[in-house]
Amino acid sequence: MDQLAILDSATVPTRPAFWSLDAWAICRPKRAFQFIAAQPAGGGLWLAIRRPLFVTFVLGCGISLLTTGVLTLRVLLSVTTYWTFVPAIEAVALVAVVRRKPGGATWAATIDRFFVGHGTWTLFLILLVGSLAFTPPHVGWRLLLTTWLPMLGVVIGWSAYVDFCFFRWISGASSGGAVARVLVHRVLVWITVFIIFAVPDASPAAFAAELREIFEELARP
Amino acid sequence: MSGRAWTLSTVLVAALAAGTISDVPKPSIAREIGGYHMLAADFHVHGFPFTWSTLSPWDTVIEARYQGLDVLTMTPHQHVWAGKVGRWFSQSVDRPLIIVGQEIVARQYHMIAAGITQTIPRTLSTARAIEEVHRQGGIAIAAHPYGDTWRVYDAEAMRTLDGAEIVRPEAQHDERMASQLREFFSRGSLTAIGSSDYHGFGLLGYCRTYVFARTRTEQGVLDAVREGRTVVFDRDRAYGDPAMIQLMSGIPELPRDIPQLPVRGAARLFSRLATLFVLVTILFFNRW
Repeated sequence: MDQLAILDSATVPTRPAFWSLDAWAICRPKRAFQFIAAQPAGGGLWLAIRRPLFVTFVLGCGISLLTTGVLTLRVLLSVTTYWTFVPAIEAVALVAVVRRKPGGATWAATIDRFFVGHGTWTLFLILLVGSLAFTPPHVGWRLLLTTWLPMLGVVIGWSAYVDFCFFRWISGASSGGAVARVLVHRVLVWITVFIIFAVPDASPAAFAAELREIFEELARP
Repeated sequence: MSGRAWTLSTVLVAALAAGTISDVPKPSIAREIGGYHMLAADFHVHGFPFTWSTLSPWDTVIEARYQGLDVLTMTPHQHVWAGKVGRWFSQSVDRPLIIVGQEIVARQYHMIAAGITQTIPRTLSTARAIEEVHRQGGIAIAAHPYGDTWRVYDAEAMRTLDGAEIVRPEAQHDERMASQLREFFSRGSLTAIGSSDYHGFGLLGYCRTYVFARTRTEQGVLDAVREGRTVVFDRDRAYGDPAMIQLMSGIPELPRDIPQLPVRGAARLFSRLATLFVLVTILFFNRW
């Protein structure tokens, strides 16, 4: 379905003068994506990679702060290179899920618009790193379990709604279709990222064993 | 470029400069003492990918140098190639000595296998796993041997096990956990091991083992563990070979307490705060 069929031009929200689209999408994802859908879609490599690169940069900075306590060149340069796998997998999964370029938009614009909705995760990462970078390891571990783990549930839920808004208003899916695309995209991304990050071999048994490890670790008194 | 972009770029470069300049390697305290090479080792270290860690094997090797470690056993879950990559890389930077290893992640126990060449399956019993580690020329160390794992270490396993982790990061502030590690250690004639179980955040070498090796080689380190020549500090306690503890008492610059990730210092504080400021500002105020 074409996005213009969904959205009457009279109902297009006005962009806040002060905040970024990313911040707007964190707070009011439906309005943000309705606005974005009505904008002309550009193209080009920079458009496709600028937001994914920012996600990678946040990961690189975060890992540098967590491992050394500072932003240091030796960690930032190296880590940022190989942690590009996260946004790369998200972008590839997005193309796999959307399949056809929505409403005349370029793939570059589609990827950029999807990553507008990444702000919830990015903010969560920044806050998580910020709290751990200023606390001793034993306090950090307690913070992870008592504060950030419950918060993760909220982030997963809210970011799913943000992605739903993307698929609904940008890729023009029906409500049911948008829900399905969110689920498929998450399954593709989460399983692939989890395998690369944690699973020693690609067998289902190894995958199950690592999942079991998570639950046992969390259940440990 | 807008004024805001210039300001952010300047702050970011300053944060990077402050962080990079204050990120100073700690000197190694390795020395020859009493006819041995005293080396600081961490026997339980994970690397990216496939083993729950953020840093690649080569970044882990460099980080170990920055933390003053002389020996590192890379122990990914259920594979050994990360250790082989780390060892290959470490040969180009001279130090630390990398020992290829694996954390055997079995259903009822975890075990460090150091000095092995091939992956050991997770389905083996503790005694059979130790046997396989020894067959490959390595040493077996009980990883985080808390109370829920004790029953799988039967008499044969306890007789052949080389060492056990007696000091670990999470037990530093939990006396219940610390006492369980001590209790397991006292069940057999085991070599004392302190390790950080490093997963790419926190401090590599946060808990470490001082090894007294006859030669500064992998074989020398493995033999030292087999023969019980290690010392591990735990706040006001020291575990290990009493003769080696006595040898170390004359070293004034030796850190006897658990090292901490340095958080003080204006440059370090600025680097952290400025980085977070830049990231939040880009996220909330970009005009993309």
